[in-house]
Amino acid sequence: MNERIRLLRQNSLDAVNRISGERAGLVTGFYRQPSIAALPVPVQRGMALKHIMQHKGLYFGQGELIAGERGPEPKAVPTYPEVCVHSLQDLEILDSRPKVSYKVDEETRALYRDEVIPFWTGRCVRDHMFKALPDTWKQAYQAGIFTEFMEQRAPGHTVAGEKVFGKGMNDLMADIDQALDKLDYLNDMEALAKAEELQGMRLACEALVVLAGRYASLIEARIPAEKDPGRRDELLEMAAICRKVPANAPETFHEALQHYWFIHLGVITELNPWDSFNPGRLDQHLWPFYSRELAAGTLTKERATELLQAFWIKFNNHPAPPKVGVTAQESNTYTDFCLINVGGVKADGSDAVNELSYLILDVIEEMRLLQPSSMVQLSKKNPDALIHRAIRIIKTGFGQPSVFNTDAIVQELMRQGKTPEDARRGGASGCVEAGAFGTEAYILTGYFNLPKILELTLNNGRDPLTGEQTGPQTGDPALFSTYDEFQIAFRKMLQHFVDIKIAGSNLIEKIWATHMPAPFLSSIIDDCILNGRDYNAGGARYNTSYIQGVGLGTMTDCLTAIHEQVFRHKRYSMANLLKMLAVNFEGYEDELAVLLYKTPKYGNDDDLADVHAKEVFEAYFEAIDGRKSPRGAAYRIEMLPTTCHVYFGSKINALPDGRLAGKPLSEGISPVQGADRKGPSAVIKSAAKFDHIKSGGTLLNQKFSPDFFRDETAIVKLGQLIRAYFRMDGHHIQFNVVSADTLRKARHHPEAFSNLIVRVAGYSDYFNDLTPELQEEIIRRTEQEQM
Amino acid sequence: MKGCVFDIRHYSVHDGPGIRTAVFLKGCPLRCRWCHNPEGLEPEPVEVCRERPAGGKTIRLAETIGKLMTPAEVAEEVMKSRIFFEESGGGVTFTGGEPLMQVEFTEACMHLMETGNIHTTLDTCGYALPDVYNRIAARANLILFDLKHYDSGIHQRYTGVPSGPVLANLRASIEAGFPLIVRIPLIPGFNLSTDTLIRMAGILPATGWSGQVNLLPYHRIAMHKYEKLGLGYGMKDIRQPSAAEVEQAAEIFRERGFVVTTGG
Ligand code: SF4
Repeated sequence: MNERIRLLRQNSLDAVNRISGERAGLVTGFYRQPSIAALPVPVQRGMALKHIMQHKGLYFGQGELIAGERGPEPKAVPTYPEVCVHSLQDLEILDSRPKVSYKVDEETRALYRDEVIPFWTGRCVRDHMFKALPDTWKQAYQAGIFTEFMEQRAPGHTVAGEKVFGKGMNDLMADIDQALDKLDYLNDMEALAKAEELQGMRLACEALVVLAGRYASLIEARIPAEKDPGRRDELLEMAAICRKVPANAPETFHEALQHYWFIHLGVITELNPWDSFNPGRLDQHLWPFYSRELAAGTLTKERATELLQAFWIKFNNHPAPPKVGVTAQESNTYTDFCLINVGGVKADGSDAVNELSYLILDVIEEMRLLQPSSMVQLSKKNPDALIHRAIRIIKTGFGQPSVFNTDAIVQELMRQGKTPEDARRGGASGCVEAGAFGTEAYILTGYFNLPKILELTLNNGRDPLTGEQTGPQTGDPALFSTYDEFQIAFRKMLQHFVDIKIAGSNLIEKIWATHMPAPFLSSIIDDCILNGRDYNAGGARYNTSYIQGVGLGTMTDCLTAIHEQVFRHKRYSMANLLKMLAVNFEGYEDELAVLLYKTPKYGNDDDLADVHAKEVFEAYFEAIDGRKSPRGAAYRIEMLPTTCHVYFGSKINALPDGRLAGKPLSEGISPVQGADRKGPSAVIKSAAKFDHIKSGGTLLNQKFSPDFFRDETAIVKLGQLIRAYFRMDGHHIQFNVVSADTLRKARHHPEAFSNLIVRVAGYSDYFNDLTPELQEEIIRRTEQEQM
Repeated sequence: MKGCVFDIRHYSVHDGPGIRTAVFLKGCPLRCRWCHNPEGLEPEPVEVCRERPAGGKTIRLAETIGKLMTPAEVAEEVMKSRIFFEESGGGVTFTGGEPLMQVEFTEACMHLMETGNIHTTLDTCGYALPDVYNRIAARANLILFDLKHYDSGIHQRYTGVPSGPVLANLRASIEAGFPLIVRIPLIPGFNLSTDTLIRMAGILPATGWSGQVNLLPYHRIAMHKYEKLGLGYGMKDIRQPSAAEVEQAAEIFRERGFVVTTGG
C-alpha cells in the first residue's frame, strides 16, 4: 500500500470508538416539532432522514478518496433512540465496560438526560415491544431460551443487488413517481398507504442527494487552499463525482465506489439495521466499470487497487452501533458484519470469477482489517486458482476470507422459492446467511438455545437455574423406558418454545412495519417500489424470517450420551444421570470421564453420534420451516451463533455430554470444543450428514496450526478438503490458523498482541477485544489441533 | 483373519499423494532410538492408563493401544475417506510399526483396497525377507522406503538390526522399477554429515531412475509419548537439525540429479 493508504489505514486503526450524540439530537429535535406527529409514518421517516442529512456534521479527512462518514468523524458512532433509547446507566456501561466499549462524553450524557431520554422513553420501538409482548415470551427470554434481534436494532440483514450500481436517486425517484401514478384508488384498498410509503421513499432518496451535495461543497471549499497540484486535481474530480452520484448512476470505477458508499451511509443512517449494509458481489458489480475503464486507459490496476483500499478503510471506520444487555452478549463485537462476496456464478449459471476477484483478494490480504468481512464463493464451476489464492490469505491467520459453497446456496435459495437467476445473483451475508441479493428481506429474528430445551426436558419443564416451571410438563424422564419416549418429550418442549418465539416475532414484526418503516432501504431493494410497500412490511420480492439454532454439537453429544449410556448400555440410570447433573458432576468424576472420553462424539465421522445431529437438525427444521409471518415471510432455520453460544451456555447447568455448568456451548455446527479427535476430514463428514440445503446457512469452524502450511502441497490439500465438503453440500467453512501458544501469550501480554486477529464465529475479531470466556474457548479449540 | 492396528488416521497429508488415510500396523523388527511411534513397536495390544482431566480432577482411564481388526473392518474405516481420495488422488497408506510384520493381513487389506480402486502406499523400513517384502511391495502403487544408514555397524547400533537386508530390498526395488520414494531421516550424530549423506546418495542410481528422495529432519515431538508410556528415550540429547543443515543435505542429493523434498 502507498503512503496515503498507510496513513488512512493507521488513522482508522487508531481512532477511538465513541458515541456521538449528534444523530440522537437531530432526530429528537425533528420529532419534537408539533407538525410531525400528524404526518403519515413513512413520510415522517423520509423527512427525518432528510433532516439528518441536511444538518449532520461532515467529515472529510486528509488524503481521502472516498467521502462520507456516518458520524462526525471516523468511529464516532451515532445512536438510534427511536429504536432503543439508552438509559444513562447504559451509557455508563458502554463507556466503562472492559470489552467492546464506546466512550461517552459529558455533553452526550447531558443531551441524553435532558432531551433524548425524556422524549423517547415509552415512544421507542423497544418500549412498544416490551409493552406488547406476553409474559410467556418474557419468561422464556429471561431464561435464555432465545434472544430477540429487533429489540435494539432494526431489521436489515440485506445486501445490494445490481440495481444499486445501475441506478441513481433520480432514476429511483422516477420509478417512485411512476408507481405513484399507477396507484388505483378505485380498486386498491391499500392505495393510500402505498402512496404514503412511496412519498416516504422519495423523500429518503432526496436526502441522499442533499448529503452528496453538501460533500461536494465541502470538497470544493478545500480546493483553493490545496497546495499540492496532484491533490487539487483529485479534489476537483471528487467534487464533480459528489455532484454526479448518487443522484445519477455511476459511470466510472471511482464513481461506482463513491456512489455505493453514499447509499451505504443512507441505509445505516436511516436506521441501525443488522449487518449494516453490504455491496455484496463486489467483483461482479464493479467489473463493467473496471473493464471498460481499463480498456479505455482511464484507469490503471494500481489506481483501482488504491481506490478499493480507500473503500475498505471506510468500512473499518464504521463500527457496529452500540449494543447493550442480551444483544451485546449475543453479538459482542465492533464488527458490523458487512461481508464482501467474491467469486461464485453469474445469473446465467456460468463461472463469475474475473480479474477483479483476484484484485479484491489482494486488497483483503494487504489491508488486513476487521471490517469489511470478506468471503469467497466457491462453485464447482470456479477454478482452483480462486480457492488456492484464498487459502494463501487464510494461512496468514486473520480468519478471512471465509469460504462458501455457491452451489449449495443456490439450491437453498431455490428450495425457498427463488428463481434460479435471483438465487445465483445472491450469496451469503452477515455471518453465513444465504440471501437473494437486491430482492430479499431476510431477517434474523434471534438465536434459539437448543441445549436449554434439552435441559428443560430433562427436568420435566422446570428450569434448574431458577427452580421455576418455565416449560410444560413433558414427563419425568426417570420414568421413560425408551429413548423414543425421551425424544418425543424433547420435541414437545421444542415446539412449545418455538411457538412462543414465533408468536413474539410476529408481534414484533408488526410493530416495526407500523411504527418504523425504512423507506430508504425500501427504495433500493426490489420490489418495494413496485409493491408500494416497505421493506419492513413485506415489500421485497422475497421475505424470510430466520431463527438461528445454537448448540448443535452440544445437543448431539447430549443425546448420544443419553441414548448410549442410559438406554442402550444402561450404564447409568436416568435418575443417576440427573443427580450427576444437579451437582455439576462433583464427586462423579469417574462417570464424567466416561461421558467425556468413552462416549461417541459428534465430529468423528461416527454414526452412533452423528445420527443424533441429523435428528436434532430435522426436529428443529420441522418445528420451524415454512411457518408464516404477518408480512408474508416464511420462517426458516439457520445454524450459527455469533457469540451467543457463550451467553446461552451461561444459562445452562451441567449437561449429559459432560459439559460443566455455565460453560460455552458448541458453536455453529462445529463439534464440541475438543471432542473431535479424528482430524478435519472426519469433522467434515459428520457435519455433512444432515441436509444443509434445508437451512439458510450453517457455520463450521476449523482450526489449523500454522505448522500445517509449512509446505506448498498443504494449500492444494486444504483446497481439496473444502471441495469435498462442498461436494457433500456443506454450506460454509472458516479457518483459524494460529497456534494455541501464540494465543496464550496474547492473553498474558495483550499489549504485545494488539494486532492479533482471530476467527470467532462467522466473523473475525481482535483477540484483545474478546471476553475472557471467548478467549478461553478459542484457545481450547486451537490447542487440540496441536496434539 | 485379524490384524493388530494401533491407529487409523484420516486426512494424512504427508505420506503419499493427495489426502490419505494411514493405517498403523502394530509391531516392528527395528528399535530405532528416535522412533516416533514407540506405541507401535510391540506386536500385541498393550494396556495403558491415560490421565484425563475431568471436572478439575485427573482421572486415570484404561486404554488399549492396538485393536484386532479384520481386513473388512479396516477397509470400512478407510473407505470413510473415499470422497477425499477422489477429490485429491489420495488413498491408503500402510504404515506402522512395520506393515511387513503382518504380511498376510496387510496383503488381505491391500487386496480389498485394490478391489475398491484405492491408491495404495506401503511405508516400510525395508527390513524383511525378500519374498515377504515383494509380496506387498510388488503390488503397492507407491513405496515409501526408509533408508537410515548405509553402514551396517552403525545401523545395528542405532536400530538394532544390520542394514544388509534393507539395502538388498532397496536395490531389488530399484532394479524392478517399483515406484519409490526413499525417505531418509536426518538425525544429528547418526547420519547428518556430508560424508554419510554422500555415501547414501551413492546407493541410489543417479540416472534413469524415476524415484524421489524425501528428507525428514528429526523432530523431538515424540518425546512426550515416551514419558507417557514410561519408556526411556534414547535420544534425549539430540537436537533438531537447523533449516540450513536440512537445505545443505538436500543440496547434496540435488547436485547428484535427484528430485528431493524435505519435511513430511
Ligand atoms: S522402523 Fe520406524 S516404527 Fe520401527 S522402530 Fe524404526 S522408527 Fe520406529
